[in-house]
Amino acid sequence: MATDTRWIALAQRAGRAVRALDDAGPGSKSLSVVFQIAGVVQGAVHAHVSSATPDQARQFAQALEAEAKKDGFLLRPIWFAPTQGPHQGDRLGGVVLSLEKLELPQELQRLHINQTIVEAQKLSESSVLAIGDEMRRVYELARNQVDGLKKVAAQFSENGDGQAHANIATTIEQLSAQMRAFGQQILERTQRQARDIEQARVWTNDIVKLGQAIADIASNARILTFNARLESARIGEAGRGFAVIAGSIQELATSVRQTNNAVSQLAENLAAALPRLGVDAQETSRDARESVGQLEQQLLDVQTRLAGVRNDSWEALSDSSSMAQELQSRANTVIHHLQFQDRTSQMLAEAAQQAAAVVSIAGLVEQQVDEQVIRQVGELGRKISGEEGLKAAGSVELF
Amino acid sequence: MKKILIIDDSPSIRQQLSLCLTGGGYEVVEAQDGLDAMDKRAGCALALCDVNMPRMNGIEFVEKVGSQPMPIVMLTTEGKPELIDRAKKAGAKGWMVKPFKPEQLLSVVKKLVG
Repeated sequence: MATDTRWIALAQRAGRAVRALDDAGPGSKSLSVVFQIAGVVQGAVHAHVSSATPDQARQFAQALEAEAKKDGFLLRPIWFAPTQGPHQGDRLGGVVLSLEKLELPQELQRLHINQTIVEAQKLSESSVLAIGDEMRRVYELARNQVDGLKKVAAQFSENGDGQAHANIATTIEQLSAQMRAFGQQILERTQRQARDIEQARVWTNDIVKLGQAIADIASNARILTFNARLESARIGEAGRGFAVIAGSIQELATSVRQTNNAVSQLAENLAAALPRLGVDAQETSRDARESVGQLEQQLLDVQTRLAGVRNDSWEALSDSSSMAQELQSRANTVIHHLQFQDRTSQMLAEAAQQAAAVVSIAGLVEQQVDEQVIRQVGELGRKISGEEGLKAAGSVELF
Repeated sequence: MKKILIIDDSPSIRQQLSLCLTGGGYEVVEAQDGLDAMDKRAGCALALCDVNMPRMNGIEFVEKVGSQPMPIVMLTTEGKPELIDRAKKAGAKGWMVKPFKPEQLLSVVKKLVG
């Protein structure tokens, strides 16, 4: 909101009436205008009204409401009437002020925004590690498979007697057992991952809610501004310094709002990324499981044909070997996916830092606002709004 | 077998780099930040170094050790020109932006150490 003298003019008008109130005598009355945002009372303007008719007072309240709307406030005069009391009468006089102090909600601290994001980060990190570990096993197993098949091939070419065939059968049996055990492990891990990803979704939803809490703080800061401007108008020239502070709070409110938008954006990105990561993880596991199953089948074929035609076994061995190599190659591509997931983890770490900054800034709003804080918030907003662009993923520059 | 030093505070990134490099036939040494890497760099043919790390960050590490006795490639999500310039002036041999494909990494490693 740009510095706007409309509010000040309006409040100055009210201020003159407040001063007149002192002389209004027993006929003076009060008027209260209560702020409401989304159904929650945020504060109140007590209008001490003198020398005006009830209609004029109503018009004045409506003018306040209209002005508030221009600034984006939902200012609703939900109750206004002459104050009950000994001075109630026909003559009303005027004005606003004696605003209630607004307390900034302490919910932000209670909601542990930081802790929530950090937990989500740990979860994401552990998920990356789990999939990475699985891929390491795929790698090792596939390598072992290729080595084992080479050994079998060597035994084939050396001699084809009964002892050699027995050795080959043992080797293949061992390889098959490894495959089966690993297939089972992948199945179990897939189920664990699904649970982890669901938990991450829950965390993400919490982050979105917490973003809303930050937005509420920004709204309250704006109301403080509004109050401060009215206050400055009430005390006239002497209130100029206060008006400056009001302007600062306004800037802060805007910055907090921008920061909140950026944090919310991070949370939304995360929410969008998690289901995709979940699908990726499950597909990866499924592929690995299928590949392992196929390899196992190939080994059984080799075993079955051992007693039969030697050339068929060679062919089956060759197929198994190339499939194992393909498995290694597939594990390689998973590394690329994992880095995207790790990036999500880093995004969460950034969100945690920014949230910590927002919490500390929100705490300062109530105490004092100075240029340094405003600069900090501005820098924060720029940082997380992504002005500092990233280079393209995978780009390499050798010096 | 040539030894590659991985310097990154993220265990998952270290894990992935390790997987990729061992698959490419290299031996791997892991360090969790620049300070840790100071003790582990002996005998390494190349260092792959993250930028943002606690205690001693990647730029500080390069500024400390220069390009001797091993080349250092920065491996990071950062793309700020001033950081790239600092790393270059300090003796870094390259700047690679995450996420990367394993074959891209292996190609860079092969080009620098064979």
